[in-house]
Amino acid sequence: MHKDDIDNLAPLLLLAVRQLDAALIDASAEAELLSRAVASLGARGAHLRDNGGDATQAEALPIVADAQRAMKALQFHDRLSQRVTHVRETLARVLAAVAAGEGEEWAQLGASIRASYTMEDERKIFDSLMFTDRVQKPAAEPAREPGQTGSVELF
Amino acid sequence: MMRTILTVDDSTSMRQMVKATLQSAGYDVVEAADGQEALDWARGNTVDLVISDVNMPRMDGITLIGELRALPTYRLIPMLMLTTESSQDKKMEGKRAGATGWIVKPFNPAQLLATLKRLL
Repeated sequence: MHKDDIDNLAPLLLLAVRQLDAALIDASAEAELLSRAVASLGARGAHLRDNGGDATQAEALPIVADAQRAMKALQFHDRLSQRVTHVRETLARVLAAVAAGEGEEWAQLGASIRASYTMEDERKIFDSLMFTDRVQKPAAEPAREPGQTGSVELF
Repeated sequence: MMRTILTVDDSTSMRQMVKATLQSAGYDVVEAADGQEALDWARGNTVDLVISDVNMPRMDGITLIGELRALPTYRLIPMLMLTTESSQDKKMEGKRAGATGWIVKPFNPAQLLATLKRLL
């Protein structure tokens, strides 16, 4: 890579990192508001279910069920923010490597990025795009079943 | 007697949803934002069950479980990991540290409550 390319690439990578930081902060505030509202609805529904008369209890049951469904769905934010954070960290590492001029070996950088992932989906995407002889493939993991999220395993 | 559960997660929205789920079933809930905060609190207090995320700043959930298991009052209480991590390696690491079970996010509130009922 020419020095001019590196000089242009570094600020663009930094820009992407800063934009992701701003998006994470923005989304986090909204997600907190939403989750607080849903939690409050669920709590009111549960109170009516447990303390109301028969008619009130019957009306409260679907409210509690809806609140539970919303709570599960809202957890998308936790997964999304983790994924965005990993993308941000990847860009920051590449930026550091480019800025240093020498930095880590690219293969080593790739392996450390893969190791930072917490979700199997992320590792699958990495493996499908990045598998070259420069990045050592780790031991294969069993394929994830569609219903694995939310799975409970007692030891 | 009201059971107390310690929930540990660095995501405020996740803590809110776990707390709301547990409180709707009559549990008392104590929150911590990372493993270190949970451990500091646990050194002077006891609970009936711990639910912890894995990836957190300052102290991760697997280290926390190991540290808690070393405390006499936490030797036998159930400890669940609640995390986006689904790799077998991580699960085995958690099991070796002393975790009782592993739940992959997003959790289903009804399923979480059913699991707690089995454990308490």
